[in-house]
Amino acid sequence: MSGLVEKSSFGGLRKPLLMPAWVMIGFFLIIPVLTMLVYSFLTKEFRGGVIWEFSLAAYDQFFFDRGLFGDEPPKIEWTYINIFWRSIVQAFVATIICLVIGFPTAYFIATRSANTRNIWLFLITVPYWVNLLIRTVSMKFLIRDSGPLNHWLMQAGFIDSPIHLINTNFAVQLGLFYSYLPFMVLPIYASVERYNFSLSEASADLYAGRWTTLRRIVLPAVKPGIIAGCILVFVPSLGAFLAPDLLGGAKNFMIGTLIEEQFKGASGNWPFGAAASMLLLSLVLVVLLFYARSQSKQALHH
Amino acid sequence: MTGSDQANVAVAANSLFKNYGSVEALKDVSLSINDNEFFTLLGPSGCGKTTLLRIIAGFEAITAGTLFLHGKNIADLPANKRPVNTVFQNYSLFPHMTVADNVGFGLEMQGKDKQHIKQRAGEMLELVQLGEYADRKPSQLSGGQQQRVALARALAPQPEVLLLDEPLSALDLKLRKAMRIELKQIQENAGITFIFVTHDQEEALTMSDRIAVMSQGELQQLGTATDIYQEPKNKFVADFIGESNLIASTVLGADNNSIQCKLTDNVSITTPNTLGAAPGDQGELCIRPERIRLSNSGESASLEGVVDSVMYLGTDTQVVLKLDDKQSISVRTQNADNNRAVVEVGQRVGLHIDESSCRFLAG
Repeated sequence: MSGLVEKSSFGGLRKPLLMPAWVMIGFFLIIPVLTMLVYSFLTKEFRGGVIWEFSLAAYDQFFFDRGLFGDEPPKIEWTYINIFWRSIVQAFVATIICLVIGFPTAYFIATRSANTRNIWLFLITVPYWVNLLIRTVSMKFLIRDSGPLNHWLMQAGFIDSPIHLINTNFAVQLGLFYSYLPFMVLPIYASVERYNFSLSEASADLYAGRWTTLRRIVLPAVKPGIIAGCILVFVPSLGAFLAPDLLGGAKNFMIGTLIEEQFKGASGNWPFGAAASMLLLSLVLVVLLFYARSQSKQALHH
Repeated sequence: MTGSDQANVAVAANSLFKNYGSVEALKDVSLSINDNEFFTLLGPSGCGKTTLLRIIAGFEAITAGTLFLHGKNIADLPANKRPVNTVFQNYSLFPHMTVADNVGFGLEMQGKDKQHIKQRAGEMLELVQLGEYADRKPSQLSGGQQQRVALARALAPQPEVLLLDEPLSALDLKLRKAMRIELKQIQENAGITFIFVTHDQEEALTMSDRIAVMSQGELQQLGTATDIYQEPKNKFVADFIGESNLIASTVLGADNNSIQCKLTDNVSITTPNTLGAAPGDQGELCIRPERIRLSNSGESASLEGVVDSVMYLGTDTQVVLKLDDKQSISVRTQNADNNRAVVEVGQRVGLHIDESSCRFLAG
């Protein structure tokens, strides 16, 4: 639609002007992903690194168990599939929690007066000026058995012995939720802010109660923001390694941690890490494709 | 006005006040609107007319006063519990629903069965001549068509009162004029009370049974189109409705029926004493431009002036004259025949004022 305008307004300068974008995408997206793809099909070098020899061993190791010496008949290896599955569940739950907390927050901010909105938005983003690692470590400190949270709850008389929070699924959820909440709030805020509130009045005028108006009128109108927020939370949650590593412990291993381990120190397995990354990437792409399909279907309807 | 015939009163507002912080949007507004009436709230922007409409719809709470709908106190009733529907200024159609779903929404919320909703939505769309657009989305319709859908949507649940918030303001002139007639017909056929908000006096005069003129949160005058045009109660109404020459004046003498008002130092005008003026009152004389006739031949005239400008307007010609005391006065003459140039700039002409149509407005 707008292609015509763009072409005519920049004429022959179009290609040179697009160069920086192409260079960025090439260097920071295409080359790294291709490197990963190639590495996932190479043979591992025992002290980290790769031997340039084609091999499917990495993918084989992900899906099949061939015994300690690799000579037994292949069985399905559930360890990594389970880690993947757990990651998907964790990321999904984190997305839902972010949505349940983020939507009312965004709605609240968007319905304030124009000047107070900016203060609220600023407050939402303030914690993110601090490095993610430091924030996650701080949370570990806060919720550990002898940490301030348990201390305060015991002092106040709510509990007799500390609640064990650290190294639980709950702690991982808390970490993921805290890490990615703004990614949910900001796109929803943007769409609620653009929402024409006289539609809500029209709905109330036509005898709809508040919840019906929310469900039938507001939610469909701000759906693009909600979907964008869910993707922005789900995708990084899926590959997150700080929160599961620091707050979840060994029991709550997620893909991000698994991949990280393969590239860390001398014990790593680069082709395996690369293969796991490629599988994660494929998973994310499938999710995004579904989203894109549903969007284009909607566009067709309009 | 209140209490005389309660059964026929659709909306009764008594001493309504509405404050936004320190801003007074409505000041002591009392009015009653009858059943099956086409009632218009007319005034410039910021006069409180939309606030009053939104209060009746239930979108705004009142600060003080009472509000009754068919004898029932609705002041504390939320919008979704009031049997009134609104046609919004920008239509506010639900963009993700089809036209038919939009029109059926109110009925659906009232819990009507699907068959009934479908049938009624179809009827309403036929009424506004959009039967074949039922499956379109609002964005696929023109402004005029969206406006009709908004009307059909608001009429579908058969409200006790229909509120219209400047519904024609976004349409072009030709469409607006056609819609005026159509709206009036729909109102008469549906037998529903319409409360229509507009800043367009022509719209108000052509459609309304009664008009409430508002300014600065206060009700200025309430009456039929003829009433408010011919018997303006104050300077604001005289100035806002139609054109008028407002000339500073003093009452020289008065009895129950008529008053003598000073026009210039040696010319006075005798007008009906409708507002109870007394000798010595200061105020303004309202003279409608079309109630002055010009004469340029030997005909004797008590008042004379020099033509300052002549503007040809098609149906009529507007002439501005300077009286001997430098006072400006505007005159409209109908172009009923081919004698175009009645007068010329600089010419000295006589003025003949239809004195019975003039009004003295104290203030």
